Amino acid sequence: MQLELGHIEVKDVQFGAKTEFRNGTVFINKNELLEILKNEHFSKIELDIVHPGDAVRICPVKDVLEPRVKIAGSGQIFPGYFGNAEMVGSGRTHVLKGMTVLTVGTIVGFQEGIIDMSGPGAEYTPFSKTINLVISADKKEGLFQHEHEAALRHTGLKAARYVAEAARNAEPDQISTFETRPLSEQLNQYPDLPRVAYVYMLQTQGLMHDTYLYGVDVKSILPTFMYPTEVMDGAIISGNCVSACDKNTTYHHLNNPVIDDLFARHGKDLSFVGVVVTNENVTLLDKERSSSFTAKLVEGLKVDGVIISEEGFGNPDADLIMNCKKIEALGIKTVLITDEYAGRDGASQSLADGHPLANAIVSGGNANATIDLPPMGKIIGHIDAVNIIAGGFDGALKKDGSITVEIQAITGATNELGFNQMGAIEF
Amino acid sequence: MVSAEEFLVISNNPAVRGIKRAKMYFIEGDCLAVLYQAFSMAASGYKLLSHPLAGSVKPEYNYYRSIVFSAEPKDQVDLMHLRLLDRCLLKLEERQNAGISSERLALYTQDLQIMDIEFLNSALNALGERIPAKIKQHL
Repeated sequence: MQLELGHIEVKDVQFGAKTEFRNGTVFINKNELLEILKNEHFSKIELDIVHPGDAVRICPVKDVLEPRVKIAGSGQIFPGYFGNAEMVGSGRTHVLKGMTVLTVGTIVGFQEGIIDMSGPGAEYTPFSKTINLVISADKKEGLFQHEHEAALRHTGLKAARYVAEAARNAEPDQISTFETRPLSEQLNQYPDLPRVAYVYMLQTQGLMHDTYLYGVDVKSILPTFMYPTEVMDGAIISGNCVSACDKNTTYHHLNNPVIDDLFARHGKDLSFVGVVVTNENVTLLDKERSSSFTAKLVEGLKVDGVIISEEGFGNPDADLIMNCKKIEALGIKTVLITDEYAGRDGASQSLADGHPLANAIVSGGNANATIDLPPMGKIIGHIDAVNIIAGGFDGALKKDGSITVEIQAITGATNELGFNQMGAIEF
Repeated sequence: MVSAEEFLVISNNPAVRGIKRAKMYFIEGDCLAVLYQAFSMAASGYKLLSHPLAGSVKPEYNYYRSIVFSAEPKDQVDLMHLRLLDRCLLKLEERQNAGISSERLALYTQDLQIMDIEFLNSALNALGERIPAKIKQHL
């Protein structure tokens, strides 16, 4: 299975008469896109384009997506939502690099997710460095929360696919090739190098916490094997809109740095054999079952080591530790990627679960650290929620528009795939 | 196996008080009070069936909490579950004063209650599917 990713560098995004990519700029026909996104559930949809350095604050962010389009190979981007859920991950895909589609909407009152395009808060989110097409959608009165979440999720997917069509006939600035062989071949490709697999934990606990694999709600699956290039074609979709700092947006899934780095080292100092996708459940029985199946799949891959990434905090710490314990019990080394809720002074216990076998941990940072965000010239969305969002607190929003929040309120601040710039090193 | 068990839900969420799918023990108090009661029940031998913390909603925003136990105590106390509850209590106690005022919390009471209901439904659906139909009728 070989996938070519054609990166098309986006220098600017503007509204224009025709949706197209021309001379490094993505032009978007605003009226045409609004017509496509029209939805019975929304009373109003607004589109904005924001650039790095703008004095703009966006809140509450639901999801972030990257426009991608299949040029060759089976399936469509975001399989299961579009097409017949054909397998993706081979052929050629074009990516509009440097821009995002970003959805905004208050699904529940305490929802979080701040992106500042400039100022000190911008340092904590990767989406202050991209040009963002922001879709703000207000729901109609009486719409249930789960209907609102689904409508907004579909809106983001549709918009990303619409914009990506502009890249179909563009000439990529750079082409990266990723190859994964059928498992039996892959296992023997580099017999002298240590074999490594990736256990990809996904948030899957219900309303506001769901993730989809080929369109299937991941809480209903048993852990399964997938080729890493499938992720790059949108096989995993975020329906998760809590825990802004450490949730994986759809953009994070498409650009998973664990997969990128394992590919980069594949054949050099390790042999990357594939991905085991697993869920994070509500009941302890489901947690036991999924971690047992994850360990069984990993054992079958005959690997020497496993990287496990968590999504979220608290409840899923139990899944993380169960996966770690059961895989280590098979004699396979684990490295865990998580973040910390160690109190504002960083002195408290970091996780809600732990075990002596969890002795190699990469931290995405302390989500309880506070930051002062100065006022911005323009607000997109509903900033009033900042007093109650996770990471905010009463009085957080001041009269001049400045806010003091824990960095857990900032989208992607302590991402547990390592898609951020913070970490902790202990010698 | 839990397939032949009935369930007991301990909760401070008024919106689930009338639940028909399980026995209910209602607690007047905050999330911390629910977790103290959960610890006490686990120490008495009741089997903890759902995780004490709700998804990735941060502990200080977990005002309403419903936790599922076996309806009857077992012969042995599960020390692993006690340890888990202890760690969750620790995180909750640490963050007790980090949240928002009760006045502002009241503005979003309905949303917080709905989130808790969703988690409870996820748990009961997951557990219920393994219950024989004959027993299910009584939940």
